[in-house]
Amino acid sequence: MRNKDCEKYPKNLKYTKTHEWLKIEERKITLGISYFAQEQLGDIVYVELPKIGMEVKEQKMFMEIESSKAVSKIYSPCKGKIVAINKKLGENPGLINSDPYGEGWLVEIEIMSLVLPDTLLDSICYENFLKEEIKDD
Amino acid sequence: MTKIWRFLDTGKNPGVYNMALDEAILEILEQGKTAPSLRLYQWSPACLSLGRNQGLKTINLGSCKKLGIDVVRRPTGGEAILHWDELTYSVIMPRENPSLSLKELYFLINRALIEAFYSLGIKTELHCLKESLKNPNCFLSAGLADLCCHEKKLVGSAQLRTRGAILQHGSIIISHKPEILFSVFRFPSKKLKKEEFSTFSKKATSLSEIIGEINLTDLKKVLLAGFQNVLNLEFFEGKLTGDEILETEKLLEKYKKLNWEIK
Repeated sequence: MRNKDCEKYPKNLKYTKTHEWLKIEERKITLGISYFAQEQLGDIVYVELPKIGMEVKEQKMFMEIESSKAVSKIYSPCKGKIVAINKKLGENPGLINSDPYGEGWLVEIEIMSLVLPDTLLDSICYENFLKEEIKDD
Repeated sequence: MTKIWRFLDTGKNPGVYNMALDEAILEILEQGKTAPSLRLYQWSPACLSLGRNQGLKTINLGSCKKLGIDVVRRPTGGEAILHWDELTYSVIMPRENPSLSLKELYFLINRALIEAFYSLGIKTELHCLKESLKNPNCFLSAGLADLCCHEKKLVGSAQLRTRGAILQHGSIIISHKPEILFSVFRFPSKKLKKEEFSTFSKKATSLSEIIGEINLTDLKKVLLAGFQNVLNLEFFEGKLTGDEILETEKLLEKYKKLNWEIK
C-alpha cells in the first residue's frame, strides 16, 4: 500500500538522474530510490541486496530490484563500501513502495572521499528534471 | 522518424546459450557497439527457464533431468516457462531519453504482438485474467506483461533494465504440453496439482489451439511486420558481431550455474 502522505521529494536529500536518493551524513550515505522511481516500477516483489563489506564503485551496478516481471539494476552514485543493508526488505520488499524515504531505504555506504559527484541534484533540480522527463513523454 | 534495427533469427539453441546471448547483446548495446535488435529463437533441448529471483522449491529438477529438459535461470523477472513448442522473441533496445517505463514498454511490444497475431486471424488483448495471480508457473500467473486471447494467456514477457538499455523477452506458445509442464513443478499436495491441471486449459492457450497448425516462417514474418509498424522500424537482417560472440562465451559460464550472485 502506498503512503500518500509521504513527502514526494524531501529537501534534505540529494537525488540522481537515475532516481536514487541519498542522505549524506559525513562519511555515511543512506541510499534508496525516489518516489518517482518506485511509482514507475510498480509493486516491488523482490530485492537482491549486496553483501555487507562489498566495495561499490561510482556508476557501477551493485543490486537489483524486481517488480512486474522486470529486473531493474541499481547503480551506486559514489565509491565506497556497503556498511549496512535493510534486511527488512527481504521479508517485505513493498516497504520501498509504501515508505521510499523511511523504512524502504536500501543500503548504507561508507564513502572514501568527502568530494561527492557534482551530478547530484537537490530536490528542486530533481523535480525540474522529472518535469522535463514527463513533458518529453 | 523510422529507426533502423537489426533482425536476428538465431534458430534453436540450448537455454544456457539463449540467455547468455540475450544478455551479451544487451551489454554490447549498452557500450554502443551494436544495433538495437529484435531476435527470434527457439530452444533445443527443451528448457525450463526460471525467473531471475525464483526459488527452486517449486521446481522438480529430477523430473526435468529424467525428461531431458534443461533448466536455466533468466536474467529477467517473473516465473518459470517451459520452452517446448514455442517461439521466443527478444527486444534489446537503448533507454532513450525519456526512457520508456516498464509498463509503457510492455504495452508497446504487446501492441506489436497484437497486430502480428491479428494478421493471422487471432484477436488478442492486453488485460486478460481478471485477478492478478501468483503462481510459480508463468502460464498460471497473470500481470500487466501478459497477452491473452479469450481471457487465456498466450504470451508471457519479462524485462531486464540496466542504466543504458532494456531487454524484454517473451514466450509465444505454439502448443502446450500440460502433462509435461505439470511434471516439472512440485506441488504441496496431489489435490492442488489436480486442481491446477484441470483449470490450466481455462487459463492458458496456444496458437495451435486457436487456429490449428502454424507455419513458423509465417509467424516470424507477421511478427517482424508487427514490430515494424507499431514501433516504426526498418529492419536489416543482421549477424552477431565479434564482440557479441565473445561476450556470449564469457556469460555461458554464469548461466551454466542455476544460482548466480551479483559480482
